[in-house]
Amino acid sequence: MPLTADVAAQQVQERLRSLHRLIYDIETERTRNEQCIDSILRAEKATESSSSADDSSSSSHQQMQLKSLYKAGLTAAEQEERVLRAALSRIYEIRSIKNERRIQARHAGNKETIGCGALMKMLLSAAQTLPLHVGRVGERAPPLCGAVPADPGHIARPGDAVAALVRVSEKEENWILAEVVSWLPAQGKYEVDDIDEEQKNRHVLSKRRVVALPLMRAEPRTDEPALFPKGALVMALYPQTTCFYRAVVNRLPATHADPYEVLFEDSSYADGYSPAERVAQRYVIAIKEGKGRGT
Amino acid sequence: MMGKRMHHNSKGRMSSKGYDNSKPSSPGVSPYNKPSKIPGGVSLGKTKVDNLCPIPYIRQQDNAVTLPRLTGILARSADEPIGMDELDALQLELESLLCNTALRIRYFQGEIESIDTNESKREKKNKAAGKQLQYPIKRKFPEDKLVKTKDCTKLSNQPKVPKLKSFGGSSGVAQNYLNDNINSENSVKLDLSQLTLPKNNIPYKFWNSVEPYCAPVTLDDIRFLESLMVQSSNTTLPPIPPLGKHYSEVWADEHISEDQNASNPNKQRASGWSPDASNLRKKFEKSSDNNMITGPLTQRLVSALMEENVMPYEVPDIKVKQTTNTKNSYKNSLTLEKCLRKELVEQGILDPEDLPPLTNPADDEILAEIKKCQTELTAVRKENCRNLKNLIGLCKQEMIRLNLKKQLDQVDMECIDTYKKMVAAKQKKRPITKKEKEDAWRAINEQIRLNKEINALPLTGPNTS
Repeated sequence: MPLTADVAAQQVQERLRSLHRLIYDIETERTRNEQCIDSILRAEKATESSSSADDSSSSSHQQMQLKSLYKAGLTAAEQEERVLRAALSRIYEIRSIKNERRIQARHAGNKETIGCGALMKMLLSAAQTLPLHVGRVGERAPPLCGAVPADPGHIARPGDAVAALVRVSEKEENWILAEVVSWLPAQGKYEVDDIDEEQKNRHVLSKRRVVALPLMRAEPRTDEPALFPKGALVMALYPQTTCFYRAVVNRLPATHADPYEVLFEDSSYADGYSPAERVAQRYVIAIKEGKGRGT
Repeated sequence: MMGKRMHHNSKGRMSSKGYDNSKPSSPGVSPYNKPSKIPGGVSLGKTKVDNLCPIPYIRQQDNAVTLPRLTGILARSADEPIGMDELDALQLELESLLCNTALRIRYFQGEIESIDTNESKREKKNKAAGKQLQYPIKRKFPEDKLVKTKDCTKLSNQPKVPKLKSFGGSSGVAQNYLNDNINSENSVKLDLSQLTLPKNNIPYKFWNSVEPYCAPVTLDDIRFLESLMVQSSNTTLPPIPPLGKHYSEVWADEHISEDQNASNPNKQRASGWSPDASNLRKKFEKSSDNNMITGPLTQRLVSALMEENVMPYEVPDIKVKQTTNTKNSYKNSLTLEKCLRKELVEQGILDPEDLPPLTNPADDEILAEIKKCQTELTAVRKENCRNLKNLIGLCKQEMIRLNLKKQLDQVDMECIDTYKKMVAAKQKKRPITKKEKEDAWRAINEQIRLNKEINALPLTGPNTS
């Protein structure tokens, strides 16, 4: 079903209203949580002060009391989490509606031309607003979240951002940032567009030459296993360019809004690496051995 | 690498946009160098540190600082919709809230788990105590083998099941603990304090108990022994108290006075016996006084009189006394005995030494027992004194030996020092002076002398067999 501009705008407005309501709910939940936390803190303090005079029966009673308080806090926090997830999913929905609109508009032929500065900003904002995965306890990060690779049979959808290995000259190939136009199942090839509109190049590339970028960011404090470890060899988008180069992870993001800090391989520096550069989670991907050299 | 990038720039991907194509690596260009615009990261870190609160949460009072967009939207009425331009900032703020909540959930779960772990540990302890109580049953039942077949399943299961359970529990505990470790740093602190293993101080206890037996003898020890010696030689045995009233008299008096008091409750309950009571008793006793044992001489006299009816010589006073007074009381008989003695001695019939003792010791079992105990005690005391003297002597010898050993240790050290000096001198090819040689010889001789002296001493201490 084609998504007309009107329908899209209507859907977006609906989501925005729902989001607004949810934000009020969030605040109510936060008040409730704060009360729970305050009582817990009081109880903890009481336990601490009385723990010096250690009476096993009374301490066990206090422990049980604390436990029930923790349980109350847990329920409140879980409720808050539900509302927050709902609110965020509204935002993600709005984004996907907008993206859908953009793709359809492009298919219709009216490409919005954006300048390079705007493109860089857009790439940055896309990286920052990539949906965040905050895992529940015991939950593993899904594929294409942070450093988690795609499933073997994964087919990138139209509009997905990918790194594509394209031949830029007779001798040289580069991993460029591109967007999937379509998947050609008969040939097992992707049709991709260079993200840089100026290039006006459409490439048809075999699946091996296309690597999907993460669809989600991983929250470092809850889903650290979904991040590249320090010292990992990766491909990272060089700042202010649309090309991926080999790099070594120097520091992991500390929060969901933080980028990686990577050192690009660069023979012009004495130790073979560039100074630390900050690259968003979205633009750091696992290296494809033998392909990344581009030679 | 750089060339590649230059090449790629020259390819026109970026260069035409007027970007600084020669310095793509300049960190200043990176758009990520404005972290102040990212609310989540900064605010989260700040609230955590500022509050010093183990529970991760963003206070509502900090809303304006940490969540400006959310605060703005909250302040508006529902009619005023959220703008699309607000979404990015709002998303980041909501994400930081979500992440905060997720961390809080983990914290709570960790805390609850650690409390549960403690509980199960406590239960395990109780179970272990219960198990110990059950062991006697287990040990017993091989005895009654007939019952065994019947109750085997029941009994053998009983002690085993809790054991298995608790083992499973403990491994679970360990796992939980690991999880806690990963999940929340805060609960780790708690857990560590709660999981400290009981200290194994048995070796210390053992060595402490052995120490006094191996410690070198000190002057204090000798002083202690000497004080013991003085104590034991000074103490004299307690004197044997004089013979009191016969217990039968005391008891009879008590009995009668009780009876009287019971029959006349109005009468004063005077301490001791009322004169009436003792009078009464004496009246009762008169009839039975015939076979009362008196002194040995009186007995002899009486028996002589009774057998022969004729006295070889007259003792008229006594005779009179006997006929009139013997039956009065034991006391009287004693006086009679005394009189008899006096008379016999005065008449020159018996010497005072030949007189048998006033009361026959063989008759008094208690006195005999006391005497026996006294002789035993004296013997033990003598033995103790002897041992103490021996010990003090040994201690003094040991002290001498210890002194010598101390001296020997010093000389040993001296020898080692001298040896080191000599080796150093040899290495440096420095000639050894005469004085040094003399010192060395002196030290060695001293060593030999002390060794001889120590060996000459008789063996003492734990090595003496």
